[in-house]
Amino acid sequence: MATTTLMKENKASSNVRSGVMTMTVPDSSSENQLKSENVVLKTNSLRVFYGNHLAIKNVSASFMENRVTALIGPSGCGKSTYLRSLNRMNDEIPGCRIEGEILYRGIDLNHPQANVFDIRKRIGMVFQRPNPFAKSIFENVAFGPKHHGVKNKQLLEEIVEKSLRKAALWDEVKDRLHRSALALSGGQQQRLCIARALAMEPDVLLLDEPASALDPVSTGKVEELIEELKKDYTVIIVTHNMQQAARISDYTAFFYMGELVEFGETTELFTNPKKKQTEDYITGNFG
Amino acid sequence: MKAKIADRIATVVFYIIALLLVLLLAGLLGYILLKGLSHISWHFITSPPESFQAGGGIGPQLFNSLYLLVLTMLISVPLSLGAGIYMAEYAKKNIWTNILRTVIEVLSSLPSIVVGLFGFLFFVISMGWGFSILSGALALTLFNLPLMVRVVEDSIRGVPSSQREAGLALGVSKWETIKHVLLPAALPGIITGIILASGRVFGEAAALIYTAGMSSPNLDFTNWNPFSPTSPLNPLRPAETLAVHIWKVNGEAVIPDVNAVSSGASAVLVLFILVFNVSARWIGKRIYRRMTSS
Repeated sequence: MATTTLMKENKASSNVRSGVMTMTVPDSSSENQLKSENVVLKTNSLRVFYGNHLAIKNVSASFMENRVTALIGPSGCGKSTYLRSLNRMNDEIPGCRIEGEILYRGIDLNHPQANVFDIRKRIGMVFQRPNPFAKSIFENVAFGPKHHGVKNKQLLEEIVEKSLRKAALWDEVKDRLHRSALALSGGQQQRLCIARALAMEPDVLLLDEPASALDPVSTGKVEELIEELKKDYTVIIVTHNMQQAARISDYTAFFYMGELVEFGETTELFTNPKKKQTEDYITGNFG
Repeated sequence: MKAKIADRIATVVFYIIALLLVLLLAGLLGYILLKGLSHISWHFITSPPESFQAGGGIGPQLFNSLYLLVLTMLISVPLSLGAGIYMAEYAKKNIWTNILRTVIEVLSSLPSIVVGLFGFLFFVISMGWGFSILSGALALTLFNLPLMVRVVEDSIRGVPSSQREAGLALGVSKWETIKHVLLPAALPGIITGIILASGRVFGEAAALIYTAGMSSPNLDFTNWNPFSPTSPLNPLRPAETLAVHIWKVNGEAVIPDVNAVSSGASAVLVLFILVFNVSARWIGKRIYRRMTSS
């Protein structure tokens, strides 16, 4: 049963990609007025509970194909919780419950028949602190494909090289692929984690403050990388750093106390915020 | 100024305590080895003991100890891996898990003579396996299991949760993540724990007196058929181990060289346990290096 749904999903998404199926674009009456582009990921009245605590309150938002969307807001505003619900990583937290809808290319992620492994394969994630496995650089990148059935050694080598190139790490590590990933610098480790996620050929990349544990030079490299990645992927990034959001994102969503306060094009939101809270936050009056 | 003096006093006190411990260990080891080493010879560690004359060895006892250790580990390693993984990854935080954990703790602090008597009543008598290697190995498993479960659980818990998330975020199932990410990362700790537990099992006497027995049949070391009564591999034969032998020789032997035999046997026992401890560190480090390819 699970395999048939998986196949259906595969077909559905490839249809979308080749343009056979056209996606509905959010109409102008919705509160987030976005240009007509392909919506990849969408939440409808999403509510996330930790036990009895309502952490995310009725958040509806749409994420556009090949665009970078930044989620900003003060600590504890729920932006990470929101991000983690987008590939069901919140499943792992005991007592976490979800209401509302998350649609990935029209597929309900929380449908009982949805295949969580397949979802996470398509919607990759990179965490705040670099978390490479205690394995070699090669094994780190090859880990995902290997466990999703790629056995051919040559193919694995190709995937590893391609992913490391995309993550702008290949030139730095090509001579020591079989050395420990833990010997890399923090910035390199984070790019390795991005390469590891890219090796799965995901459609969407969720980045949870990927540069907050890095020095400025490494941060710059990761930011450049994100600009590059949006050609092939839809990127959603949580960041504390508003300059970063302004530099790299096309759209910005401002979260406050579990609510999506404002969502729009980054230039618009930063130069001409519509809500008082947004203005206060981006001008540094609180948070 | 006062803080400085207090700090200095504390430092000195801790140094003295550490020194005392080292001296105690060095003295004990030195005494046992000094008294025993001169009695150790190839003949001593390979030939069977004598009943009435001087010049007997500890060959079968040494073999029994090693064989029993291997059998015990064959049973307890898989069980403790399973239980440890369950406790670390699957057990929900509720009252039943707490009860289970308490039960394991109580089990680990059971006196070994009690474990031995239980083994005697259950394995030896009720199951009808008699004084045998099998009864002994099962009793040692009971004695050993709680500690090993703890070691496995702690080693797996010691792996940062970010590693777990990394695996899951790649769409890999929980079991695959445990098998290919958590277990390899926890392996050095698990191996170290297994080897240290081996040292404990190797030196255990009380749990074996009533289970593996205090005698060893005449063994034919050319007969490797595990079903033959004279085969060293036969799991249903009685098997006196080195530690039990030391206890027995001192208690009831009538040989004239009791002191020589027990000092020699003690030295052999201590040497083996030393080797276990040192190799635990070395192997743990090596495996970690190989796993992380550093």
